[in-house]
Amino acid sequence: MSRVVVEKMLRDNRKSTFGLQITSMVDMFTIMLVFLLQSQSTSSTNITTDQKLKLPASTSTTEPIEALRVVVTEEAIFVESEKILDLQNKNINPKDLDPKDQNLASSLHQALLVHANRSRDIASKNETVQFDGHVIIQADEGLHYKLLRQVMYTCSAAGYADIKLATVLTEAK
Amino acid sequence: MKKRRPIDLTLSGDPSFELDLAPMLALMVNLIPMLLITTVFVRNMIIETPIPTVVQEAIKKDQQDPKVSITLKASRLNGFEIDIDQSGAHQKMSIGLSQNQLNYEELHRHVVKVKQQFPDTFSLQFEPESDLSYKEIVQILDEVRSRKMGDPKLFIVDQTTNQNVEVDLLFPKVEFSNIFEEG
Repeated sequence: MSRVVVEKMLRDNRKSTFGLQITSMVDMFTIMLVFLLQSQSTSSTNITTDQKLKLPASTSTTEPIEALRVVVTEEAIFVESEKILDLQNKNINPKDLDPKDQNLASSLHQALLVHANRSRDIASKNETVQFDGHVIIQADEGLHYKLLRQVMYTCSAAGYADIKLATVLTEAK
Repeated sequence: MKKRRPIDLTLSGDPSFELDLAPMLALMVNLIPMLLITTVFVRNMIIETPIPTVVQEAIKKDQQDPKVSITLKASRLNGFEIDIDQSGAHQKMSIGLSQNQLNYEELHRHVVKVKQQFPDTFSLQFEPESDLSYKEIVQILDEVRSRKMGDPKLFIVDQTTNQNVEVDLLFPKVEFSNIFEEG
């Protein structure tokens, strides 16, 4: 670059500092702040879902409560975060079912009984806690009722008779 | 007596000033990431489905004598069937498939009619077939649970005041009555 050009540039840009116009940025941040504050959940309990799990959409507006979670994906059944049994083509493997009762999933029943006994044990020692048999079933929307029925039946047999189905909130049509 | 000096009300210099937005910006830069992390964008809800266990059923029968029992059967082959049992007298309604799909709109219309007929009944026995998907079951539950925009108004009589009270609920207490069936 020639010396003349450099000198001309220096002459034109004598002022080396400049004021940053941040008003529009503050406007944008204010809108974002209001939106985020509005969408903050006030519920004391939140359900976290796995990436592989797609919950069905519902217009139900009942807030989730604190309860035992049974997660049914297309591949396996979990109690809380513990994997209990693997599924075979979105169904319970016949060898995992009770031979005397084809609706009862034995390993799931055992796992639920452990949780139920633990809750009952805590309830017997702490008067403020009581075992109410609440269970939240988080199931994938593509699963068939046959499998859900077996899960619900097993929950009921283990003492969890108050079943709640987890859904994703959608607008009423 | 001293003579007061007149107050000069004319403004001298530039009356405008620059607002320093930097602290506000700093506050927002901190707040926004925090809120972005903690905000729940997909809100999960629950549908209550109490199961009629044998004991619960017996207690219920002992405590109250339900005059009407409404059963909804859903099947992918035959559509919906509503069976109303009023002290032994049966009334049946069938809702066929529409273009090989379950007809949810027609189901809702029929359920509203049933509700108009029996405004004091809030529970419904639901018997879906095994091949129905969970998504379809939840959609059926949505159709039978509450009124939608454009539905006729529904009223129940308040026993204490003897006045009509408008209700938005149809059959919010849905029980899966075929859970204990074989197979």
